Amino acid sequence: MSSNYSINPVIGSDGRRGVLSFVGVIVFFTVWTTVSYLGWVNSLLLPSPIRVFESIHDVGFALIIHSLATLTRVVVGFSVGVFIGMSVGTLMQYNRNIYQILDGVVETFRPVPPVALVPFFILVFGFSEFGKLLIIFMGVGLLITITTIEAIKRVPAPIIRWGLTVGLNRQDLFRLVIFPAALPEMRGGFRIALALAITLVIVSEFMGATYGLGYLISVSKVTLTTPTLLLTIIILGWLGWGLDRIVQSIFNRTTAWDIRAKGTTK
Amino acid sequence: MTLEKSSQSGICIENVSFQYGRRTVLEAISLHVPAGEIWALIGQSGIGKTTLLQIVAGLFQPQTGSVTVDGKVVVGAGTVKGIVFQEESLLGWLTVEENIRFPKHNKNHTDEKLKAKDILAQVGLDRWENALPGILSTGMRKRAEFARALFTDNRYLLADEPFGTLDALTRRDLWYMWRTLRTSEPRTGILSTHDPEEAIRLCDVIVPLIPGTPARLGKPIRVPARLSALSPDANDDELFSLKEQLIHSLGINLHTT
Repeated sequence: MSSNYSINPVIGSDGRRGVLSFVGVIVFFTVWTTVSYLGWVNSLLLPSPIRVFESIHDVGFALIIHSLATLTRVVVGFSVGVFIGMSVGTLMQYNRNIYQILDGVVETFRPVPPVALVPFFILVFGFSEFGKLLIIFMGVGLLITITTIEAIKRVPAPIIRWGLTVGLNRQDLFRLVIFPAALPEMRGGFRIALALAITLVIVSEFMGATYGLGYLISVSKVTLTTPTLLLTIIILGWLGWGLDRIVQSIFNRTTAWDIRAKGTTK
Repeated sequence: MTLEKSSQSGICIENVSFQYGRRTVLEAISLHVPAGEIWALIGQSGIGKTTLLQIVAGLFQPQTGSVTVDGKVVVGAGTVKGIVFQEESLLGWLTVEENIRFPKHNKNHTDEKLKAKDILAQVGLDRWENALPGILSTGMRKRAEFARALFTDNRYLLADEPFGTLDALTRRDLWYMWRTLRTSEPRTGILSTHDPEEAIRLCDVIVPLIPGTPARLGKPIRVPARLSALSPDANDDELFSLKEQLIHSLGINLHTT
């Protein structure tokens, strides 16, 4: 009942994979340091990694405040957006009338990059926290709505037929069969939505904020403090990486059955 | 869901027609499977066997005609609950035992748990009750689907090409299981297949679906008791001759080169 086949790109133990990831990071920083010290690029534009990490002292405690402000916006915006998107997507598949009513709206806004809406939201809501969050709700919500609709459409017909055969009503059919079956298909959409949430938070912080990593990047650009700018980008990358790992971990737990099935039977 | 009562027991298909869009798949199909018997519906792929079984199951509504099960008219899914689909239909996130007891899998009914355990033992999955379907082999998953159908409905069984996707050895293995279950868990039902040998070895009566637009039912052929009793591994001249007769009735000429 076991197979050597793995869905993961790197075969081996968790420890070995961790070491390989660490080696990748070391190589990256070594190349950066070399380029910087050999003076191939102006140090004002590309300071060495050591100088970048030294800038933690320059920013001080404020770095934590900025990071927490961005993190909070991303987590709240993403969570509410996911809730809205999953609810709307499920309702659109649950009821044909709701689908017909909302399909035109969803399809109109689907091709519009959410970033394009930022100026409009600032115009209406000013630089308020609510305006920033609303942009994320909308961007993430729309993406998760489409993800949910497509995932539900891909639920295999035989399992729906089995649910009908054992006498489930429409509500129970969705709750007990369709939704759990659709969940693994949503994984990719969730990860893309998280990246979108981070993008939207940073863009809205560029446009107008007094706290946040986007604000810090914006200020660093104006004052030409490249070490702080690069440090903020690195922190932002690690923050996104960490959040993505959390999302993946939630999916690994809730849809372990699917991962296991694909990993051992294909 | 059922309506009025008719006097015939078993599964009675009366004058059923079905169209997909403008294409008529079945027209004026009538068939009566008496209680206690399992009939084979044999025909080439895409001829309408699955459609007819879905109509009997109440999953499709025929344009004309009706299906009665035990005298009650079928007007929706749920009258016949013992179904084994052609494609895999186990719920991947539930264990084998939970799949069998679904949708009451969360309730702690001791009687039902014992019944599920018993049926799982009959299909040879007694050590796999807590396994998720994803880690089982294709043959084991099919066994679990049979166990689920037997648990859910203790009178009727509809099996839609249940062995079609299996390799030859696993299929032979499941034929043995089928024969054992027919003794321990007798059911009234229909098995659809495109394999004449399978139909002869596993069913009481064989009904060919003859190609055409739309397909029509051929004359039912009762399998001699001697052939029904043959082991799935034993061969016999009479079996081969009946097999050839069936192939001929399906419009396939084996001797054409």
